[in-house]
Amino acid sequence: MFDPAAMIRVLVKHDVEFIVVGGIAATLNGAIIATQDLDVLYALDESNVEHVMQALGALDARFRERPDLAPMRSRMESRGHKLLMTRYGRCDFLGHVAPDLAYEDLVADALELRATEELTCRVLGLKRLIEIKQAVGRPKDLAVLPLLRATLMERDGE
Amino acid sequence: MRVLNFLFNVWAESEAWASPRVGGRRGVTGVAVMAASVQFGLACVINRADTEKMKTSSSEKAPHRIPPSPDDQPSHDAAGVDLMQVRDALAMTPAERLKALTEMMASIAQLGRIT
Repeated sequence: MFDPAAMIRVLVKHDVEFIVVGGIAATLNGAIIATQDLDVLYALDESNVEHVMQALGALDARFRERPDLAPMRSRMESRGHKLLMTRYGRCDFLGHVAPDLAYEDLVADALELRATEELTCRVLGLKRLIEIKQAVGRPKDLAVLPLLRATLMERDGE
Repeated sequence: MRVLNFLFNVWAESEAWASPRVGGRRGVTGVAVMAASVQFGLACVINRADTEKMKTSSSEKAPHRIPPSPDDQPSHDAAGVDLMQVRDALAMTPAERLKALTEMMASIAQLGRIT
């Protein structure tokens, strides 16, 4: 079962410093996009990685390609993409997003949005999300750009 | 209110004019005619007041306060995006949208299991 709100709740509970990016960020910003995973860009400092490890334990996280393997701390300290499966569905932990942007580069463009009735989290703003999807340039990213642009136009007149 | 008064007037006037003027019933007819007249007058006053009220409210509503007709707004943008759906999604709170997405994905997953 895919339950992004439950995953966000666990991350917030463990004080993980993260920004929601990708399709869930688009949805929280106003454009409901079908997606099967929660993408989070997280801070790679030592303290935050510790919080991430605790949250991953609570989520019963495993690598999607290796369900027998739980994510190791050394791997979580890297800038790469960690594609995980949790008890609440797929969750991708990103050390960076294209074009080589880390948590510190994007935190200023993140908004505090209420993801559920009881909690807020940082979510990448729609304008920056569009720029990143353009930069990534995969067919699935380009396919949603018209909807994201229309949402930005309707919401902000941009 | 205007319709009710109008109907009451019609009834009262018909009762008045149709009442038999025999013996002691003559006074009753007179009362009925008087009641009809009072009601008719009252209806005229109410109608006039309603008309004035409508005039006032329409003059208070400047053209810019009248919501645009749905026909005046484009339904799709140049890229073919359904703008009504965009507006519907924007009308929801972030939490509501996330919940809607979660339910949508659960339905899709269920459909996948069925088919």
